[in-house]
Amino acid sequence: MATMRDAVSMSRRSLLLGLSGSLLVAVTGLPGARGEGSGETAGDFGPFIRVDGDGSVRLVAPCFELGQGSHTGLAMILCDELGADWDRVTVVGPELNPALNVPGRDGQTTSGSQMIRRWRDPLRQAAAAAREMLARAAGERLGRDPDGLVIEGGWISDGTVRLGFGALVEAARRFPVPDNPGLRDRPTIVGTSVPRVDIPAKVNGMAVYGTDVRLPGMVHAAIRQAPVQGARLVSVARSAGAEEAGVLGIVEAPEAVMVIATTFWRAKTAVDALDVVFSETEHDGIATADIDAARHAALDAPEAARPIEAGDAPARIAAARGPGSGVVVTADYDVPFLHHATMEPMTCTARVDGETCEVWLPTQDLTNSAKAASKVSGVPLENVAIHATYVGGGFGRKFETDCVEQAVRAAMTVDRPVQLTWTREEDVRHGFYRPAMSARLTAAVTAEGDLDGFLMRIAGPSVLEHTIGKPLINGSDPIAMLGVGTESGKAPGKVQQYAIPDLLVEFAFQPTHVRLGYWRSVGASENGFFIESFMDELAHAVGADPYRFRRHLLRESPRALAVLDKVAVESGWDSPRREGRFLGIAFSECVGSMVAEVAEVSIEEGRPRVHRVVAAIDCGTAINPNAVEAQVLGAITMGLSAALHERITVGDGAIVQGNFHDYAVARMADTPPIDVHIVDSGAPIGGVGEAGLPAVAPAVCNAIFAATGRRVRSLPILETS
Amino acid sequence: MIEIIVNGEVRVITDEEDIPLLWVLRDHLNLTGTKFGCGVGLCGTCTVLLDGEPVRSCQVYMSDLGDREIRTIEGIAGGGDLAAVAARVQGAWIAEQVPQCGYCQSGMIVAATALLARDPDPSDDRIDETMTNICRCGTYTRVRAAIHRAAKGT
Repeated sequence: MATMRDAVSMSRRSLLLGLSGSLLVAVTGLPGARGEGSGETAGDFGPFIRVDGDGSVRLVAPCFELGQGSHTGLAMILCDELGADWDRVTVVGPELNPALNVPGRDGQTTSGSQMIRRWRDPLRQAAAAAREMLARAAGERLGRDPDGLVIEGGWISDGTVRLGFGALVEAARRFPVPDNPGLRDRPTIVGTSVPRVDIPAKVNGMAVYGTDVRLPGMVHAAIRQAPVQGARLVSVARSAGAEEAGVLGIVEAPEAVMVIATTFWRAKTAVDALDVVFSETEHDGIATADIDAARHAALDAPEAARPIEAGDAPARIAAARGPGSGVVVTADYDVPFLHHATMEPMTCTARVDGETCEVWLPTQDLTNSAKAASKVSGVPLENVAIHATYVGGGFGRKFETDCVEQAVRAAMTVDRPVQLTWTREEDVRHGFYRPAMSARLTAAVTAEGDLDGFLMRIAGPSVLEHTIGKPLINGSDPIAMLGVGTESGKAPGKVQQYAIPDLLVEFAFQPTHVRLGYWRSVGASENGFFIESFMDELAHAVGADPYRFRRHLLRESPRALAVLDKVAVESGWDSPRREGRFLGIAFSECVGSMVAEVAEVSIEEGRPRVHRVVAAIDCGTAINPNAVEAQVLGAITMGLSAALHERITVGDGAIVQGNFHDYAVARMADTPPIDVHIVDSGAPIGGVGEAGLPAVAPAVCNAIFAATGRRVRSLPILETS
Repeated sequence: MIEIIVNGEVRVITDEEDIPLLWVLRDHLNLTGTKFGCGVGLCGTCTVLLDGEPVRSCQVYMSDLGDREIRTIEGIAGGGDLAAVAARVQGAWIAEQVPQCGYCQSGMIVAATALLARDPDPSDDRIDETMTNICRCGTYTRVRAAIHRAAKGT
C-alpha cells in the first residue's frame, strides 16, 4: 500500500508541475508548458507573476488564448504596472487553480469578451504588490527609501546604482505582500500596438493546438454520434469484411460509438464501417418548417413575459393608431440556427490510470472540463489535471465539455493516452447552435422623429436552460435579451442607447429539441439585426435620413453619437455616392462597448455585393489598438458570413448540414475591405471580441433596402433574397 | 515501406496503407503544423506544396505522390525553390499581425507562398480567386494586406 501511495503522490506531483519530464519534450509549445522558471532563484508573487533569477518575468495568464489577444493585452498591463522589460516578459496559460477563477464567476473561463475587463485590476494589484516588494528589497540593499527609487525596464535605480529584478527576487519574497499597493499611472506600452506574443508560433507551424498534442504511446479515436439530439446507442456491429488493422477497441457511450486505433485515419475508417443503431426519439419527424411555425405562433400568443418595461407603450401605440396621430410601423423578423464551425474540430486528449486523470484540450472552460473528466472517470477532482492548449477557434463552442467526457470515456478503456478528434461532419451536426429566433417590433413615430411607444416581442427557445438547467427567470431568458437593454442595467427609457420613454419588450418561450449554446455575441447577434433593421424601417417610414434619425434618438448618449458620427464621416455618408453604390448604417452597444458600422453595397445580377464596411468602436480604452482592430475585423467578417450565407436546418429531427459545402462560410472573395476606427473616450473599459458583430447584418440589409427598396427581414440574405 | 521526401529529408513510412498524405504527416511523422479542417478538400487548412504546387493533403493519397517533394509549413522556408518567398510571406504575416486563433494559417501561408511564386504581384481579384482557404476568425483582410506586403518584399 505504501508503494502505491508513493506512486500516486509522485504522479500527482508530476501533474502539479505541469508535465512530467518525458512528456514535456513531446508537447513543447503548449502555452502552459513554456517559460518555466529556471530554478531556485525564481520567485512567485501570487498566482500570476513569477520573476526569474535572470530578471525575466513570467505571467501566468488567467485565461486561454483563442486568438483574441488577451495573453498579450494582460502581459502589457502587467509589464507597465511592474515596470518590467517587455522583451523579457513571457506568457503561459493557466493550469487548474481556483485562485484564477474569473472575478465574479465560479470557474476558469474565457468568454463574454470579459478577460481584459475582469482581469485588468486584479492583475495591476498583483503587479503593483510585486513591484513594492522588489522596491523594498532594493531600498534595503541601497540604503534608500523605496519610494524614491525609479523602477522601469526591469531595473530599480537610485540614480547612481541600478539593480535588476533578478538580483532582488530572493530578498523581495521575504517581505509581506502589501494589501493596498499604490498603482502607477504611467502607461508605456499600454495603448500601443505591441505585436502579439502568440503570433510567431502561429506562422511557423509550431503552435500546439488540441489536435497537435503528441504523447508517448498515444492512440487515436474517432466518433459517430446519434444523429438526433436525445437518441441513444442501441447496438453496434462490425461489418463483415471491414478492415481492422490497427483497431484497438470499440467504445460505447450513451449517445455515441467510438473506435480507438493507432492512427486517426484508421479509427475514422473503422468507425465509418460500423453498423450502428440509435434509438428513435419523439423528435424524429421534426423539420425546420415545424420549428419556424411554432416560433411564429408564439409571436401571436396572448401572453408573454415582460422582462423590460418602462411607461405604457401599448397605450401610446393604441393612441397613435387613432386619427391624426403619428405613423405606426410593425414588422416581423427571423434569424436561423447558426453553427460555430471552428476551424479546429472538437478534440480532446485524455489519459486515465485509475488514480489520476490527465487531459489536454483547447477549451474556454477549464473548471467544467475538469469536473466533466472527474465525473466520467471517477477520479477525484484533486487528481485531475488539465493542460490548456491553444484554441483553434472558440466563439463559444469550446465552452462545452461534451468532447472531454467522450475522450475520457475512451481513455478509460486503454492503458495509454487517447486523442479523440471529431470529423467536420460530426462537428457540424453536433453543435451547440445559436438559436433560431423571431421578433415582432411595433413603434409609433412622431413628426419630430421621437418614438412614442415601442413594442418588441422576442420568440424562441432559451439558451439560459443550457446555462442554469432551467429555461426561464421570471418567465424570460435574460440571454435572449442581450443587445436589447444595455450592460448598465435595464436602463428604463432606453432600448440599446435609444431614448424611448414608453417601451415594452416581451419574451415568448418556444422550446426546441435542437441543442443550443453561446455563439459570438450571443443574444445580441439576433437583437442587433432585429432592432437596427427596424430603426431603418422607422426612419424610412417618416422620410428621415437613417443616420440622422438615429442621431436624434441617441442625443442623450455622447459615446453612441461619437461612433455614429465617426462612421458617417469616414464612410462619406453625406458625400456623393459612386454610381450604383448604396450605404446602410447600424449602431450597437455590445459587451460594454459602442459600435457603429456602415456597409457599402451594390446589386449585381440581382445579388447584393458588399464592397466595404466602415466601423467605429469605443471600448473605453484600447489596451492594444492593433489587437482591437483585429477583433473588430474578425467579428465583422463572421457577422457578414452569417448574414450572407449561414443557416443550420433540421430534417427528420437531425441537423441537415455536414461540411463546408452545405454550411457555407465567408471566404476571401466574400470579404470586402473593412476600415476600423477606434474612438478612445476614456470611459470604463469595454469588451472587444464580440462587439463588432451585431451591427454588420443590419448595416448590410439597410444598404440593400437603400439599393432596392426591398427589406430583408429573414437571414441569411443570399438564401432569402 | 514507402520513402517520401518531406522538407528535404527522406522519410520512411513503414505502413503499407494507401492513406491521405495529411495523416501520414500528422500521425506518422508528427508534423502537426499541417492541420485537419474538413477532410474533403474544401477548407485548405491542410495545404502543402508538392514540387512547389499547392495541394490539399487530405485529398492526396500516398499512391498519388510519386517522387514529388513535399514541403510543409515546418520546412517551407528552410529550403527548396520557394524558401525565399516563404520566408518573406512569414515575415509579412508577422508584420501585418495576421493570425488570430491561427489554426488555418499554415494552409494560408503555404497557399500564399505558391501564389506569389507564380504571380509576384497579384491583384486583389487574383488573391480573392486563388486564396480559397477558410478562416473562421476573419483574418481575410489582413491576409490580403500581408500578401501585398510580401509582394513588395518588405
